[in-house]
Amino acid sequence: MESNNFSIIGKKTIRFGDKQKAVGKTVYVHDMMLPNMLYGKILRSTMPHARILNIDTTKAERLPGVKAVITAKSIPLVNFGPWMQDQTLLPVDKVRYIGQEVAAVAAEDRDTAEEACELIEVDYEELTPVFDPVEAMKPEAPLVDENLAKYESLHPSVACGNMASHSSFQKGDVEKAFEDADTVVEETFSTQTQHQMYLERRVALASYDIFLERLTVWTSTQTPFMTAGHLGQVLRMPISKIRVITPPIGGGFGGKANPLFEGHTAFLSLKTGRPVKIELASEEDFMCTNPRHASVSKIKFGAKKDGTITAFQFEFYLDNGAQVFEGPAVCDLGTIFGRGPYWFENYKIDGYSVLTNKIIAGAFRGFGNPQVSWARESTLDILAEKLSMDPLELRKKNTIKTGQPMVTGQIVENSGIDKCIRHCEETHGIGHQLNGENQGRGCAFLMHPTGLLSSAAFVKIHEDGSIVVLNGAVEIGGGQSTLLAMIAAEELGVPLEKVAVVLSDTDVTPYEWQTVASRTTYNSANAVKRAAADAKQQLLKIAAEILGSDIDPEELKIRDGLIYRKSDPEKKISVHEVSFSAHYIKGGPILGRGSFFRDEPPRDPKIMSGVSTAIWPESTEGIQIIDVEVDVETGLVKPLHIGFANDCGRAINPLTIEGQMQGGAVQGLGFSLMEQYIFDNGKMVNPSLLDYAIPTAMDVPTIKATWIENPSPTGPFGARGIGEPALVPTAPAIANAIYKAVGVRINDLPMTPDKIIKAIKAKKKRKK
Amino acid sequence: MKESIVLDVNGQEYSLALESNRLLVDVLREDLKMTGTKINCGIGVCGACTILLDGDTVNSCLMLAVDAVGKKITTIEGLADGDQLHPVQEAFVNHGAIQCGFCSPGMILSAKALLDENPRANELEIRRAISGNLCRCSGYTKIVEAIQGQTSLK
Repeated sequence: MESNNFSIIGKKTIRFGDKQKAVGKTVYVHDMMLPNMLYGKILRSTMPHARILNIDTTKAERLPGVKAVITAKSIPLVNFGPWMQDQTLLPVDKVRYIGQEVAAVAAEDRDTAEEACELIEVDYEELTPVFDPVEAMKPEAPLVDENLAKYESLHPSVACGNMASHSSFQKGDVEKAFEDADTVVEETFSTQTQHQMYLERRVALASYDIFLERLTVWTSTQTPFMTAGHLGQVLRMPISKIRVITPPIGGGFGGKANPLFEGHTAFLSLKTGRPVKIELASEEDFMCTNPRHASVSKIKFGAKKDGTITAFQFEFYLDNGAQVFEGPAVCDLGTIFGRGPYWFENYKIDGYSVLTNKIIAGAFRGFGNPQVSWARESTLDILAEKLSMDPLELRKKNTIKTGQPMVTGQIVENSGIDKCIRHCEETHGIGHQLNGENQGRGCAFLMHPTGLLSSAAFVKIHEDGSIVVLNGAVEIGGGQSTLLAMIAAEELGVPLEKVAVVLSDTDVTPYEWQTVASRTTYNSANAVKRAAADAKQQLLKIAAEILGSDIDPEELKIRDGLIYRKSDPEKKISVHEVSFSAHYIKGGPILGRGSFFRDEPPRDPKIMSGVSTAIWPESTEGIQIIDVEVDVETGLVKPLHIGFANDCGRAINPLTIEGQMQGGAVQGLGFSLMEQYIFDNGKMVNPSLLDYAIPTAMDVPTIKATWIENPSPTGPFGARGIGEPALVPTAPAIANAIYKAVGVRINDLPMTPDKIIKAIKAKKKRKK
Repeated sequence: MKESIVLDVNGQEYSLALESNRLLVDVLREDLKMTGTKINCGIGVCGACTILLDGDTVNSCLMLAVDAVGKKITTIEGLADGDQLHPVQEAFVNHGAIQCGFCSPGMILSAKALLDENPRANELEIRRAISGNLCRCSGYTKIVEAIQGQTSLK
């Protein structure tokens, strides 16, 4: 797994900022306090679907210590949304889910703010809600948003009724292929709502300076830039008058990928002329943020006797919650990657995101892929059994090869799945079974995108030759700054100790779409590499001029901060000297710039429709092999071992990669076995860590995470991002292991003990 | 109504006047400006607010500040000696056991308390000792390895 010929990348590198985190000195937005600061609180809907007849804020406004109260009437109403512009900060006519923002207050202390919210009187007229996405698709279902078809949208999908989007891909003739197939299997599956459970709750601190006429916002977000854009839109201010700064954050996992209440916080600051901080209470974070889309899916495979899959039909419905938000994009990813790291002759794939009167679902590591992989990888094992084939052999027969197209038509440039299989055969014992009683081993394959949309970076060189990298990525725990420093240092040929990184400040760092989608290693790093290369060119040009008129910059190389002529290394000059000259003698201060966006190829409407982001710049494949032991009395599933291999393209910082893979797999454990929202009439009734269990150290077995290096032709030094894929295959790998262990299959997540016991009892009954 | 109390935090005494219903975690963070201790669940489940009271781990979100009078409080700020990290902190950094870092103060204190009491802790004992500290980033594997590296079984 070693990278050769690189000075800096490929070596385990202690991450910038970790020492500061270890001593508790890192300042998160959670820790920030400003002089004269007010505390804000949001009043939320208690009804899943109701018309707002009246909001009376008089009593709240009169409470001593209250400095501002806002409702839809007190702020300009602007429509916004990442895809469809169906949202407003506060509702005018009706509420659509329990937890929706209805009003907001700012007060001198938290208790007063809370009391003020309780004093706001809202008169509701109940409307009939709809809670299930399949029910919501029916023509007689109550409409969550009557205006759905009328909003402006960036997404090409057409919305109607409660259907926010429909993405689809097709090729060949699935109906005929099913008729001709030797074996057909058909199954239905479901997945639950899952919360990201980042440890630092969502929090924002806004400070409007009435004299500078500038707004500064510190927020725990994965996207300072989308936040600034959003604020500009809702406040009707130019983005140049807004500065969003994001320090290291306490986890995100997608749950902080979009602005949420920064707009409310900003309005309160504008109205009071004082800084305002809003931090969600734990219960609020569960009930009023953007958890993973729940799903139901129908899947059908047709195959020949020898295991060649000839037909694949897949239909899934995402429970979107009350507003469109990220639904269309999650749908896109689910339909694009629903086929997985395989190639089938004929397929028809349809994904729907559907509005319901529940919490708005959003981005969470995997972004639709865990939901579709759950169905596909479970069914592949079912198909294998019907064909009397080993599940691994069935998968091997159908893997996607380099040069074959994805469902979008995009060609896979360097497929890693076959290499992953060989690696897993050598390293992880894939294909072998366990012998212990009620023990089983299951596997599942993954294919996941890395990178998306645009990134930009600057690399500047100080007069002493030290380097600063400026990029808009957020330090969310994945070692973003260290990674970008390593990329810059490697590209430039300078020691890592000379490189500093400045991240996530919209005034200072150039644009970065979001820190999500495993894109820092692919997108941001590509932008940084280009910026470093640009700075290098400027350095070499000046160095050549200084070293002698006969020297061409092409002849020069930089290593360890020294620039020398390849053919005559005695002709040399340090980066320090060159940069000093640039500042004081000739050329001007050196500033490298880089920008990255992988352009989309033309789309073929014959094979796809209703899809926005058809090109996901690059992808990665991987395999998880999980051993379990099932207690047939209690139904508890005990994971014994997790083996995991992932194609990382090129390992930039091996110290970080392992941690990402392990952490993601454990989130996958939670998704598979314990985490769920329990709803009662649209209300989450378990909004606390006492009742919403996430894995503790006692729940986690040994995890052996390894990687293969199968370079990406377009990734920086060949790297692919691996931040997301880790929980994509976990649930089906466990389900397949449970089947091997005790012969029962659960199709609905999470696989809690009650479901296991019920399935075991049902199996016993069938035997009798 | 404010009470005058003295708190012993990291070996130093602090005189404070506070309402008797103030939580210890809020007093540490807001009055003493020691924001290393964090808050998440507020109900003693996640362990982000872990501090040591006379060497034992305590969820400071479940404790009133006035009830900590007369005890030795250790927060994460009290572990390093100037710029010298405590060996447990060093181990966490070197093993890559820190990702977003939010759980780390509580986790490190739980690890320290375990090792002070049981320097030969095995893997199960380590996992049990940190089972009250939730981490969402790491999957715990590197945290356990970092702590194992500090036991005298290494």
